[in-house]
Amino acid sequence: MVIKMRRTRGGSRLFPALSAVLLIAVSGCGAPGTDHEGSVPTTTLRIGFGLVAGGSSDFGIGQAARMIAFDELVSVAGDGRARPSLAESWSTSTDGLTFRVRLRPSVTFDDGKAVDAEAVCAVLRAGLPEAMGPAFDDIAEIRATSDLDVEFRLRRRSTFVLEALASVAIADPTSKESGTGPFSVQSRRNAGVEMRANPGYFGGKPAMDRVILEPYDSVRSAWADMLRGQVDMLYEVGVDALDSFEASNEVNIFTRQRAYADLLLLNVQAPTLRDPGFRRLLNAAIDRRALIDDVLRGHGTPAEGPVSPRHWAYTADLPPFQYQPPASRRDRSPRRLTVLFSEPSLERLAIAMQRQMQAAGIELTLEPVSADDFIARVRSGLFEAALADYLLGPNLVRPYQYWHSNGAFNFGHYHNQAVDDALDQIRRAPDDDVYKAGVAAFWRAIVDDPPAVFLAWSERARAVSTRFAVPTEPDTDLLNTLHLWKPVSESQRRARR
Amino acid sequence: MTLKIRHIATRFALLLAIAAVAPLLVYGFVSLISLQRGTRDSVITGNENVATRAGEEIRRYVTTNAQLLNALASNLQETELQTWQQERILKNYILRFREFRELALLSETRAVIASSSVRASTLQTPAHTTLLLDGVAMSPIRLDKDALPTSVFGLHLTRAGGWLIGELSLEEMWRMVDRIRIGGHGFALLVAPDGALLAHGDPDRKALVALSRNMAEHPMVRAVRAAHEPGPVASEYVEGGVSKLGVATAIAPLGWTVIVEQPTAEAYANATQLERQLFVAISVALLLMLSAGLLFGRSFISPILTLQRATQSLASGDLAARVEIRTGDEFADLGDAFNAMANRLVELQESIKRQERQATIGRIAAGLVHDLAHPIQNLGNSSRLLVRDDLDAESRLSIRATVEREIESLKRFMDDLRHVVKPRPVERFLLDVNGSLVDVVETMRTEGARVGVTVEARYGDEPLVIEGDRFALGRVYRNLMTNAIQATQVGGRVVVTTGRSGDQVEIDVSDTGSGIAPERLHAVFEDFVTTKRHGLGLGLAISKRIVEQLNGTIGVTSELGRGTAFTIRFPARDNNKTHAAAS
Repeated sequence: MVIKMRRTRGGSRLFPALSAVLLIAVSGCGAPGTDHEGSVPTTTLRIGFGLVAGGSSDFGIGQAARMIAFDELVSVAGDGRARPSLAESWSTSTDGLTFRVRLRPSVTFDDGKAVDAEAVCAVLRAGLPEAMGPAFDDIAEIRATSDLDVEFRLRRRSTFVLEALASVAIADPTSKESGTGPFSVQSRRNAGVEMRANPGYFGGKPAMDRVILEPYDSVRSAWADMLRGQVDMLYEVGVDALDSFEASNEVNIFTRQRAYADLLLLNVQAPTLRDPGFRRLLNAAIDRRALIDDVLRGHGTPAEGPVSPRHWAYTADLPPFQYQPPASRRDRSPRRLTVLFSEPSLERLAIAMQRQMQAAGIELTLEPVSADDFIARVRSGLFEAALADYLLGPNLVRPYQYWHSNGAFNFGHYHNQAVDDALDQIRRAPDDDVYKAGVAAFWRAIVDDPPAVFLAWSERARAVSTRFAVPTEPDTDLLNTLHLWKPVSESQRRARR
Repeated sequence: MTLKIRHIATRFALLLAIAAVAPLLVYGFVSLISLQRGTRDSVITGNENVATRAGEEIRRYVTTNAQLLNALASNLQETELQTWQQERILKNYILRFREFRELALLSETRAVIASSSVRASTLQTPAHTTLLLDGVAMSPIRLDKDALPTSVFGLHLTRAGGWLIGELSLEEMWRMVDRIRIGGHGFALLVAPDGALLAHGDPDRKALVALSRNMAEHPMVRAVRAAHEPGPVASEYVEGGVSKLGVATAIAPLGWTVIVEQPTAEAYANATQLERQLFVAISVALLLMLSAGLLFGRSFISPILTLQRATQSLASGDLAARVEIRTGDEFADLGDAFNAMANRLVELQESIKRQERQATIGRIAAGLVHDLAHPIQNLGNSSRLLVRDDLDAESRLSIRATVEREIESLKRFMDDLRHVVKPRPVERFLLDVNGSLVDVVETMRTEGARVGVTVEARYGDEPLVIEGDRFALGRVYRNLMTNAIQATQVGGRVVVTTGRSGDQVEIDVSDTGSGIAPERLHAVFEDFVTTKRHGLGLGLAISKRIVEQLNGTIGVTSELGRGTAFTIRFPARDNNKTHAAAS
C-alpha cells in the first residue's frame, strides 16, 4: 500500500523535507462533479489546494500531483512496515547481502510502456542515492535478473533499502513524466494542475475522468470555496475549520494521523545551540499538551521523541521529552533564539511556542519568510531554528537522513556518535529485535542530545464533498483510493441523509 | 333526494350519534382547537425565548470583545512599554482570544507600531464607523479577501495616542451560533443590518455565508424591521418548499437580527401528536358509541322484529305462529297479547267454519227438501189418483205423464248430486251447437211460457262445430236457461244466442232478470252457492266443470235490475270433414 504523503522526489536535496512543509496548506477547490466537454460527459474531481505563501507551486500542488501520478515499489503502513505496491513481493538472502524484488506483472506506465525490471533499475539507480543518502553505499549493484525481478547486491546488510523503496517514485526513465498512478498530469496552468484518468491503471480504471488541483492563496481561501460548493475536496482542512464541516451533510471529513511532526529544527553550529543542555532546556520548556489543546484544538499527539509512537519498533518505556514548568528549573539565564518559519498556519503555533519559551527565559524571535527563502536558508545553514512540519516517518530512513552525521537532510549539522551508532544499528539490523534495540538507543541518544525541539505529531484532515463516494481503508491515505472514488447522484445523497 | 333509513337500529344509532356523540364531537373539536392554539403558542413562546437568549448571547459576545479591546488598551497604555513588549501583549491576546484574527497598535498617523502578526500588518482603523460599543468603534460588516464577512474594532488611545485595532474572526462566532439549536432541525441565523448573512447554524447552509447571501428579503428580517415594538416576532413561512416557524429579534445596539427557524413539522410535532391522539380518541369513542347504539338498537327492536315476523306468518295463514318474548317489559306484554290474539283468531276461525258448515248443511237440506218435496208430492198424488176407479183413460195418461216427468226430475236431481261427488266423464264428438240447442230451447220455451217469460233463440248462420258431449251440454244449457227463467220477472225475456268469434264458438244466455250483486258474482260458479231462495246451488258449478272438461270457458256479466248474461266459449272445429261429421 502506498502512503503518498511520504513520497519525496525531485532534484533538490531540500525538496523532500520542505515539500512536507508546503503540503500543509493544501486545500481543495471544486466544482460540480460532472462536466460536459463537447458531447462526452466527464466526471471531474476538483481538489482545493492552499498554497504556502510565497512558495513555489512545485513544492505544493506539483508535489501533490506527483503523489497521484506515480507509485513506488512499496508503500508503508502507519506502523512503518512495508506493503506491496508495484512490487509484488521481496526477499532477502540468508546472509542478508542479496535483496530481491518481484514486480507486479502487466503494469504499464500511462504512456503504455511496460514497467519492467530494467526500467525500474534505472529509476532506482537514479532515485535511491537521494532517498538513502549515505546509506546508499550499502548497495553494490542493482540489476534486473528477469523482466520482473530486480536484484540488489549489498555490501552489508541494510534495512533501509526496503524502506527507501517507498520514497522512490517509479517513472518512465525515458520521459520522467509518465507514471503508473491512476491519473497522469495533462496540463499545468496558473499554478493549477489538470490530470486525466489513466485507463491502464493496474488498480483498475478510475471512475472519474479528471482531477483538477486548484491553487488557493491559503487554506482558509480554499475552505471558503469548499463552503460555497465550488470545490469537491480540500487537500487539507485547517484545524480551525474542522468544526464547520463536522455536522454537515454536504461534506465528509477524513481525519488521519500523519508521519509528520511539527518541530523546531535546531542548527547546532549556532553558538547558542551548541550546548546539548540548552537544547534539552528548549525541549523541557514546551508544554506539548497545552500546545495541542490550545493551538491545534486537540488535533495532534505530543511528540515526545524522534520516532512516532505508531511505529512498530516504538516501546512505551522509552524516556520522553518532558515538560518542566519554569519554576522548577535552576538555569534561568536569558537566551535568545531566532526562529525561521514560512507556513502561515504555523504562526499561531510559533507564537504559542514563543510564549512558552519566554516563560522559561528564552526569547524567541519569530522570523517569517517565504517558502523559497525558508528552503534556501535552511539548505545553506543560515538559521538558528526552523519551525516546520517535517516528515519524520513512517520508517527510520527519514530520521537517518535528518540526524545521522552524514544524512542528506542534516541541515542543522548535527553530530552525535551515539545517534550515528544507533541509526547504523537500525540500518544494519538482521532482525526486528536488533532493529528495536537500535530504535531505543536512537531515541535515548536524541533525548539526551536533542537536535530539535519536538512539538507534536500532526493530525490533519481532508474534506470531500458527499457528491463523491470515497472508499476508505485503514491506515491508508484517501488519495490512494482515488481510482475507486465514484460520483454520487443527488438522490443517493438524499437517501444517505 | 330523501334519505330513507329503513332499519330502526340504524335510526337508533343515528339518534345516539346525534344526541350523545354530537356533543362529544363538539367537545373534541373545541379541545383540538384549544390544544392546537395552546401548544403552538407554547412552542412559539419557547422559540422566542431561545431567540431572545441567542440575541443576548451574541450581543454579549460582541460587546465582550469590545471590552477586551478596552482592557487591552489599558494594558498597553498604563506603563511605558517597549514596542516588543506591546507586541508580546498583542500576541498573548491573540493566542488567548481566537475571536480576534489580528490585533495591531497604530500611531496617530495610522502607522503600525506593533502587531500580533509576525508578518506585516495590514490593519487599518475602521473607515465608516457606525457603531460605538463601550467607546470601541465597530466597522460595518465587510468581506475579507476570502469573501467571508468580517468586522474591525478600533479604539482610540486617548492617553498614549494612536489606535488599537482588532480584526474580528466571525468564524469563531459561528461556533456560538452553531450551538443555538432547537430540536433536530432548528437552527439560528445571524443577519447584519444590510442583510449580509453573518452566520448560519445549519451545517448544510453555511455555504450561504460564504456565498455572501443577502437576507434582507427574508420574511423574518422584514418582520423584525416592520415591528413597531422591540421584542421577538414570530411567523410561519415556506422556504425551499419547507414550511418553517421562524422567530427573530433585533440585537440592539448592533442592529443585527438573530433568526431561529425550525420546520413547522418538527416545531409542532408534539402538538400534532397530541392532536392526533385526541382525534383518535374521539374517533374511537364515536365508533364505540355508534357500535353500542347499533347493538343496543338491535337488541331493542329484536322483540319488534319477532312480532313482525309472527304477524307476517299469521297473515300468510300460519295460525300456529306464536312469539316468545321474555324481556320482562312492555314487549313481553305485547308478545303475550299477540299470542292471545292469535289463539282467539284460531277459535274464531273454527267457529266460523263450524257455522259455515252448519249453514251449508242447512242450505243443502232445505234445497233437498225443496227439490224433492214437489216431485215426491206429485208422485204421491199421482199414485193415489192412479188407484181410483173413476179415472178415465185420458186422465190416467195425464197422470202417467206427470209421474214420468217427476221421476225424470228426480233422476236429474240425483245426477247432479252424483256429479258433485264424482264428476261424470264427458265424451267428445263433433257436434253442431245450434243442433244441440234446439231441443232444449224448445223445452225451455214451454217452461218460460208457463211463468210468463219469453224464451228466444237466435242461432248463428254459419256452422258452429265444436267437440262436445251432447248430453252434458244439454244439462249446461238447461241449467243456464232454467236459472234465467227463474230470475226473470213475468213479461221478461230470455235470449239464447249462438255465434262465432274468431276461432271460438260462443253460446250466450242472457236474461232481463234482477241481476246478481257484484260482490256475489265471483262465487256463482262455486258449489252450493245460489242466489235463489231455494235450491242446492249446484247447477252453475256443475255447468262450469262440464264446460271446462270440454276445453271451454264460461263467464258471467250482470247488472243489478237489468239482467245477467252467461257466455260459453268453445274452440271451433271448422274443416269440412268435421262439419260433415257434426251434421
